[in-house]
Amino acid sequence: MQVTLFKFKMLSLWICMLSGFLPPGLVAQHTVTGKVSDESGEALPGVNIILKGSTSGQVTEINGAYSINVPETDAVLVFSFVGYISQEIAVNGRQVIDVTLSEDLQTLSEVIVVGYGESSRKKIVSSVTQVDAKELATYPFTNTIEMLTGRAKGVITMVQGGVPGTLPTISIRGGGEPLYIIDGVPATKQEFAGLAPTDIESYTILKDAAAAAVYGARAGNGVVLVTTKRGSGGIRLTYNSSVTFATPTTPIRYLQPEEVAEALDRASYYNGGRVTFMDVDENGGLRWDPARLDSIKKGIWNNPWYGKTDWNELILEDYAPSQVHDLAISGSSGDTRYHLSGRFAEQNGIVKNDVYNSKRYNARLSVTQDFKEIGLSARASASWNQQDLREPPQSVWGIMTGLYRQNSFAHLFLPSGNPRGGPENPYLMIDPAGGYRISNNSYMNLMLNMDWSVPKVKGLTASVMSNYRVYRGDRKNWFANAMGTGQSYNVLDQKEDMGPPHLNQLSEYNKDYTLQLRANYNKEINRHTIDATFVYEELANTYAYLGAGRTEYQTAVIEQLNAGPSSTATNSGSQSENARRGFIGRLNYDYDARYMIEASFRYDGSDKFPKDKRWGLFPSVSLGWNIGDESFMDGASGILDDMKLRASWGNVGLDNVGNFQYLAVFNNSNDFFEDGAWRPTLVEGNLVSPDLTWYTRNTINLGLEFGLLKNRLSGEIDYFYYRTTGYLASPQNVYSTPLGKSLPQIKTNSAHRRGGWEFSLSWQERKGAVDYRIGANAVHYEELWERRYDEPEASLKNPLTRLTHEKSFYDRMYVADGYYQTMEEVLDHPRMQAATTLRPGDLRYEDINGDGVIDGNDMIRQGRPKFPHLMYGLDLGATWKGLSLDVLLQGTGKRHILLESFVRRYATNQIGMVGSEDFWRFDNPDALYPRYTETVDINGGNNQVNSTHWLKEGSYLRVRNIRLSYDLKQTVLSKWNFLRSLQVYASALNLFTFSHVGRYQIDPEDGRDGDAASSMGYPIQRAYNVGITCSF
Amino acid sequence: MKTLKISLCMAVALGLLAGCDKSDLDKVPLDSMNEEIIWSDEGLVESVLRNLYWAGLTKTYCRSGGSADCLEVDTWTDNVLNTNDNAVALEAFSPSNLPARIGSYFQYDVIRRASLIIDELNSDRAFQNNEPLRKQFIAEARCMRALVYGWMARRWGGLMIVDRKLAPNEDLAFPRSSEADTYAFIIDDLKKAIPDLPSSAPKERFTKGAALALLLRHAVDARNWDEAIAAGEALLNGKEGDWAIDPNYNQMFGNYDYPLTSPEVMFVMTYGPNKTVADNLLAMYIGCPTPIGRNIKGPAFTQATDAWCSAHPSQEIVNAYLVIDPVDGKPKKYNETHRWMAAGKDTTSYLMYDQPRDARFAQTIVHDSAYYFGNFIVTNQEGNVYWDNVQNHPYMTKSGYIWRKWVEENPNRRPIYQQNFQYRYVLLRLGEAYLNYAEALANKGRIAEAVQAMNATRVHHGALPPLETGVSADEFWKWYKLERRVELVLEGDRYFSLIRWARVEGATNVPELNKRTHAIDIQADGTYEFVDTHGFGTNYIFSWPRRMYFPIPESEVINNPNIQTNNPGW
Repeated sequence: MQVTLFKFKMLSLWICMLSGFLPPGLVAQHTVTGKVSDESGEALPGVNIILKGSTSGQVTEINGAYSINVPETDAVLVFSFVGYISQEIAVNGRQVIDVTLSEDLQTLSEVIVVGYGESSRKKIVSSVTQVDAKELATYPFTNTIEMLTGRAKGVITMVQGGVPGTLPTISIRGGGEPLYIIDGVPATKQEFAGLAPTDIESYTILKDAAAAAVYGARAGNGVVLVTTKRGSGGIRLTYNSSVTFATPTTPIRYLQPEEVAEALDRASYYNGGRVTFMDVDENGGLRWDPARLDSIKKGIWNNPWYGKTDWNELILEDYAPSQVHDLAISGSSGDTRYHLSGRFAEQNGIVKNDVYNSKRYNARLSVTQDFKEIGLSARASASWNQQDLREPPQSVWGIMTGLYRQNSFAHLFLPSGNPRGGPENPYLMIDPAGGYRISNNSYMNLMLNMDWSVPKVKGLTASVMSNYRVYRGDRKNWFANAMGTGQSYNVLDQKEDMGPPHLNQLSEYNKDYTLQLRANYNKEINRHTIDATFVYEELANTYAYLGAGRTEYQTAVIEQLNAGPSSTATNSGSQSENARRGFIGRLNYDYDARYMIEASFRYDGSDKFPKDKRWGLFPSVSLGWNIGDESFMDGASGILDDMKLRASWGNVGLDNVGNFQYLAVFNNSNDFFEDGAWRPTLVEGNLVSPDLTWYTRNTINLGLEFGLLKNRLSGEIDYFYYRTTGYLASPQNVYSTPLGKSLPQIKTNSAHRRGGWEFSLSWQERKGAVDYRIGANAVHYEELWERRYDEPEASLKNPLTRLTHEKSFYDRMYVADGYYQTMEEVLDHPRMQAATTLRPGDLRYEDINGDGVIDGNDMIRQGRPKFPHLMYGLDLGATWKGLSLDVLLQGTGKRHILLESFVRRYATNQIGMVGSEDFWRFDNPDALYPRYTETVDINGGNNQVNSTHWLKEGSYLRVRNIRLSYDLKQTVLSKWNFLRSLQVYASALNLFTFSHVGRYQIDPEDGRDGDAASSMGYPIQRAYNVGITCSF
Repeated sequence: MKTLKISLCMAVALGLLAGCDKSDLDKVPLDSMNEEIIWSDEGLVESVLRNLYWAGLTKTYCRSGGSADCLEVDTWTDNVLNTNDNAVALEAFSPSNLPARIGSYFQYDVIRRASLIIDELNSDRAFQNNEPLRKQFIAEARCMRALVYGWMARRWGGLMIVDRKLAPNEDLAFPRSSEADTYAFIIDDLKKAIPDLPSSAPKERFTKGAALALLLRHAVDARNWDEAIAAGEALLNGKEGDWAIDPNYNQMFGNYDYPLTSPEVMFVMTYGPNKTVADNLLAMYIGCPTPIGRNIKGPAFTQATDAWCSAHPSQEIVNAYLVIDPVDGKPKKYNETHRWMAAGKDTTSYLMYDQPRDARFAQTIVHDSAYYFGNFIVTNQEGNVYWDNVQNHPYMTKSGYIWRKWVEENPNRRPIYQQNFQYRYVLLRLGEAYLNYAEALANKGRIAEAVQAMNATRVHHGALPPLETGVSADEFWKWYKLERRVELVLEGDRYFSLIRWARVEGATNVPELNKRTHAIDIQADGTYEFVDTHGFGTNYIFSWPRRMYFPIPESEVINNPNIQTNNPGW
């Protein structure tokens, strides 16, 4: 196994830049010593002690003792420890200071980032979940979305196969794509996923309309807010580095050559064909000639077409290596707070020859300056992130698919050593000589944010935020021959014609501009608090692309556009623009943080609608009651410490419809070849309606929060209900065939309901020197259409097949009833019209409507959706003297996956993997697969149609993460004063998986985005990583 | 003072920004054209018209890949040995389960494109500076509307006739017109169009000649012999363009460039270079692979091709090619010649192909011991393309024959999966027009003239002796049906002709569509047998009279209150 050499260029660059920042030596000092303990007198090791306003710090030893040098005058020490309330203590010339820290049970004072502002855990009255990202930064996740899996209550994610760079589907309580907000600005999923984990302070998930509605049209599915780090405290330099080794969760296991040969013969013999490898005995059975069996086993059988090939060895690395380096400096100096960070991450694919390689660079700079004399605080930040991806011409998915279709009985190399097998051969697909596909995507984000406390009006703040983001993507696809593979040879050892090279390039950019003007007024009178916010927001965006290509290159020597024949040059390009506006208002009132009410509105403008239909007003209201603060609850103190009830209602506007659906246009369409040249054509656009406007989603959320046993046990239960009405769509239930066009999109009378519950529960305690926590969360939802614009009456009338008013299901399909075992069964049973040559071993289906024929009317609703409707996570953690262990288990409730055609192994070229020999024969009546046939579409595709035979239970439980880390500073390195912490860690991702589909050699999360079927693609990975984080 | 300045600045800034009026949401599409400007610009209208050609042809006659009509429709007949289940040939379909290989019933989007041009160019919005061009565009749109309606009428009979651009708020529940009215509408569109069409134009566009050929086709479909004869006379008297039968039969289909200069080819669809891959085009499906080094028996392949050979010429079509008996000089079935009779039981396969035969045979079909892409082809059990003799390659001929028609045997233009390819579908040609004309004449009892019309292809393409003009009607029909079969093989004609003949003759069955087709299986010594299976032949089922038409989709009957029933028998 070959591991790429670490690249320290980035690192050395940073070190050079930073050396100017290191602090000067200190003068005129004395030493303070002491001991830190908790309320029960137990010594606390690992407590951070920092001299306020400086960078120098110390950590207590195992017995809680510490020693620190302080300057003679005005020294203040800050004692802080996770889970305890920090204390600041003025030295005042003392030599010994013993400190007692008390446990911080008041997590309710935690600051929560919400839309256009902040709130506290205690006062929040809508459904909001915050996830602290700091501890997650060093896990071997390949994108920031995976960090939320199993951790964020109410969030459901589904991995879409393992292709590097593929992003999981994410859903809040079963809704569609949420809105992503990075530091207050809407961003794309790709930009969000590409953030450096080490830059993220926290995630906040806004789930109900009361929380999300302030973001308007795009927030109907909830919002994922990310807050990045800003820096505080003394200067702190942190370096993190890790290496990861990934390997498929489900390795490919091939049959042995003789098993393949036997399966091929048995399949052929049953279908009346000839046997090639075995012999027919006198009873009509098949038997092996021992000498032939032996030579096949050894791969020396006398035939140039079969041999012995170890595909795993030829194509795959044992482990795909990747590495990450992070460097950050943050802190404050006077009125300035800063956070600078850089990251380099490299990921390699599991296939050999290094044909897959991804490099990602992140840099972020945030500077906040307070101009106290005029009450102004300004924050400027800039970030840049770039991914350079190099892939082989054939997609990695395609290579893996090719690999899954091979068998060990294949013969790959000629006596000369040259490979044969043509372009379907994965060995040739991973030949770097075949070309490459390169993509470079970069995001640049510039932001300026000013908050001004208006003088003379206490509590009034005016803010302005402007943001400019540029996305740029460049792609270059070079095929060194038409196939994009290595050279293949025919059996005469002659080069096969692979076709001429071709090249495609594409450049695209997207520019987003956001402006927010905000006024906030906060007033406390006695116990009454009022907080009012008003925001004006505008967003505009421009997108453009330019593409070019040439084909029929004479040679593969020069990989540039201008080297190709100009007669084959093609190009393409286009541009588009969009804009939004919004006015947002929010009013919060609480009495003594006990009774809370919040009301908000957004007056939203979208360019998707005609001029007089653009604006819509969407309100929300929520209420909360901290029962735990009531005097009548005093008696329960220590048992039931906190309890809050909250309820919210909100109405979000949705504009989920294509652009300019109100304008009658003609669009460019396929060129038409006439008189020796391709000529452009124009086609009428969609029919339009002038009545296109907003539709809405109503949300109700009821929540209960509680803290028990001195808040050691805390939890939260939510019930939610969403009802969406008036989908913008072209009605399908009105007959319109002669029109020759879809009806214009209008506000339909469709209505959709989604409802469910979620809960989280966590127990946190310190027992002696051990801190441990147990957390659990789960979310479950169901949905149904009250009325669907796309269900025609014919389908609606049939209760077996209709989609309206039916709870979540997988799809309509045939109901398989096992295999035909005898010819009598075939004759006695209804069949599909096209299935005229059924034989024993074919699939039999139930005649649901009893009309004597199997047809589309016998396809009925089956199964549970592929997307999990119940998802849960179990989070366990413990720390002891610098050693900490974290475990996350994550799983889903019942879901189904439909095996893709590659996984339905009963046709040509499908014998190869373990399990594929298990097809129906008279001597194998309970087989995994139907009888082997030459093609899948035999008998009108009788065995191939979607049926319950191929629908498999897809629920799973994974040990998603395990992480063990050890902070050396707390023990062996405690004397190294310059060091704040030195943590080494090891973790594993997807270490164990329990599922029902292992026998098909697939992972329950295999598959591609949007695919109904679970497919054999790039495997989901199990990853191991080790790393080190040190800070100074 | 400082505070004041800042307050002022911020107030001004806020005022400016908040004052932004809402008109900033007035974005416009940057990549599409406002409908208003289209119709007054002749260049833009021509682009709309070209889109009609593109959509109309790619949805009907030139569907993608193996579904191109010229092959697809023939796979429902005894011209082809199918190796995969063919739901149409098997009659394994129903109104709720219509196989895609029939083609889509939903062509009203194309009809709309045509009506849009006709209506808009007849309105005030149309460009006014070039009257002949405006009329020509209208005429071309009418031709395409007729082409698509004709394609549909052959399959489904009577249709909903939409002769104008419809608005979404109209009552859209159209009733179906009768088959006769549908064809009358098609003929009417074409007759209105012909005077405004040019006599010559690029062959991808309609001319007077092409429109007349289309009119002839559908007038015969409609059994409207008078209209057909009138169109035939107009077309064949030479006044509507300079058309002639091209003796170079093979080149019309076997060469990308040739159809443009052939005097016989009237209308084509071109998949030009650089925008289409071979996978989408017919040649990939009917070509046969000659993979170098993979045949374990027979002569080595010298030139590699890599096609899919998914439909094979049947023994039945092979038998339809006449042999000129050298003894008496008369065209006969291959097994009626003196030589064959003399050979008796000792005939070998060599004699099948060795007699002087209809010139179109070798130009259409590759048989044993012929050359194909420069390779010597041996189809017998020891041969290089025998279906079981090529390792790791399931795509070999399974009937013992390979299609040569529609395949360009040019080593520089071999179809290779997913590689650039160029292709030309010949959609209307004079040969078919002559045969349609002959059929119309014969149905009117004008046998002598019909014989003359039929001889145009029989003599010039088949190099057969002309049929005597004095033959009886029965004799005419016998030879005419053979002639039409071989002349138009793999042009999507036979299926509809068989149905038409059955209707004219009042038949109660179509035996040609109700049997298995055969392959030839030749031993190394030349002895052979005709077989109907290697485990992959399929049945053909055809119930009469319900197969006169395909059923319309069940949803149409359920959702359109003015269509209460499906076609008879469905």
